Amino acid sequence: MTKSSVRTLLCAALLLAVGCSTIRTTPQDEQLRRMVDLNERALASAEKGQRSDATKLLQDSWRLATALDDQPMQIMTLLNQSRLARRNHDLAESRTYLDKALHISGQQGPLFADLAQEQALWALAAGDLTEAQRWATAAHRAEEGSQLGRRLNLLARVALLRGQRSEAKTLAEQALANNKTVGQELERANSLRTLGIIATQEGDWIAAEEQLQAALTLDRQQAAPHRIISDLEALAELAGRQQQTERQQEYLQRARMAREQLASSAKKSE
Amino acid sequence: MTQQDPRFRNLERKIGLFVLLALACVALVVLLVGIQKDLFSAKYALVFTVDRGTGFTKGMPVKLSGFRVGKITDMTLNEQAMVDITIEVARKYSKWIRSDSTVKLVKEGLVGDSIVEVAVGSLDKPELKTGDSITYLKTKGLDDLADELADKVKPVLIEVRDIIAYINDPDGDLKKTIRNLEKLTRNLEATRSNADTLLLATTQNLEQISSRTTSLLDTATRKIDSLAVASLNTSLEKLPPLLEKTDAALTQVTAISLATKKLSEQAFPLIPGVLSRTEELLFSTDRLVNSLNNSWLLGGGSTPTPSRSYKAGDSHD
Repeated sequence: MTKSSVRTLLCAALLLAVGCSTIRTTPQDEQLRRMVDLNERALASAEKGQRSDATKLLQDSWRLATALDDQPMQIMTLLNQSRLARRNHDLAESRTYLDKALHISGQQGPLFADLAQEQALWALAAGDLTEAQRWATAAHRAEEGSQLGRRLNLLARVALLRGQRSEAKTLAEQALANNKTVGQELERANSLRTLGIIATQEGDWIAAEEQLQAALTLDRQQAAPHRIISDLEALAELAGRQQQTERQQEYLQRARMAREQLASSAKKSE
Repeated sequence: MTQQDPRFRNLERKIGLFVLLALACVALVVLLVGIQKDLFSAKYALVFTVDRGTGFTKGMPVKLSGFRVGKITDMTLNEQAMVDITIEVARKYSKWIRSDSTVKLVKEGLVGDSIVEVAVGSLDKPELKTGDSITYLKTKGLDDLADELADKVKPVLIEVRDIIAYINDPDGDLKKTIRNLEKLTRNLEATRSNADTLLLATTQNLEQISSRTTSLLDTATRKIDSLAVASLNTSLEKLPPLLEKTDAALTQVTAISLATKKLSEQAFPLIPGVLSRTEELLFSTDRLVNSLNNSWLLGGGSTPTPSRSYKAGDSHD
């Protein structure tokens, strides 16, 4: 056998191997991937502050999901649209998307837990703590996957806002343990912040400082500016309660700077 | 035997009948007039107190919404030197006169009679009973109105008087200005003759200046002619081709500018689409790389089918 024929045989074998290794995708898979991509790109655009791009991408996703009669994708798109509108302080529009999603989903389905969570967040934004409690509980009950820590965190947040400190503490501790197990770092930071705020209210300065600093470190690692601002504000509150005015001012100054930078980068992106 | 005229027979009876009929007619008239004047309808009395009885008279009509409903029946001076006035109102109107009803003395029109006007009360208030007091609202009389008007007009009149005095003051600003204007008008004639003289002098001077300028220009022309006109002409001859070249260059620049504008107009709308597709392409490339990484050949397993997992929102969102 000549060298060139060996090379030809090797190439043919490789091509055969590559051909065998690939899996044939159906058009349905391709469209599903496209819709998932559109949603992910929309969320990425929203994170960068490009609201109009995000809205356009979600509209594309909605059109595709409706044309293919893909109800789970419709619900997912509606939830993302609702989330965007809520963040944009347009609660009426957000409510419309949620109602539509609830109409399609009903009180069950794989996305019901997420739908209930979004409902609870909407109720929190609207200042209705009773409704927030109801939906957060529904989200917790419907959770079957790895988002238990997230649901518990929301329950803890609502309980704290309702003044049920001990219940909030128990829930936040459970959430912290769960988030640590599944590696949800941002949610772990949320649990720690809630615990830090509770410790501040209880006058346990050392524990509060420890938990809030840990939350700040985690949020910095995850580069989450909104959460960093929340951590700094919680630390400022703690310093204020300890009559450490200079530290309080320093934290508030840092929070203000972070907020300003966030606002200016959002404006630039727009 | 007395002779009796048949016409005088039963004369007493006839007279008696006639008198009875006449009496019945009178009674009927009295009855009708009484009914018309509400003499026989049930009435009830109401009382109100005023500071002065001026303007009130016994029998003065009492009206409600323009309808006569009663009259003043009594006026007495009380212990506080005030006047208690009693009005009599037909009972059938009592439903309109409630505890919050008021009475006031008004004139019907500008020169009409004075009347007592009763205001209709609220239907949720109790009706007034006979002998009850009704509130009297004092209205302003003509004297009061005149006084009020005089108070308002007085300062205006004083101001007008001051203004007239200021205008008429012989040493005032206005009179002085008028006198100055008269003086100015008188002096204008002299000023005009002075101006005429000045204009004549100026014309003569201008003629002199013109003749001198002409001689100066002649001199200047001679000097310019003596200069190197030939060399200047050569330089000027070179200018037209240069200007033509510049024109051509400018035309080209305009054409390029137009082409660029058209190109940008066509290209700009495409940019967002291109960006979107580029982003999509990047996502696809990313997926491809992931697929290759996961492929059997490069050590990975089978390509996972796309999942519908929702990217859950932050619980502290």
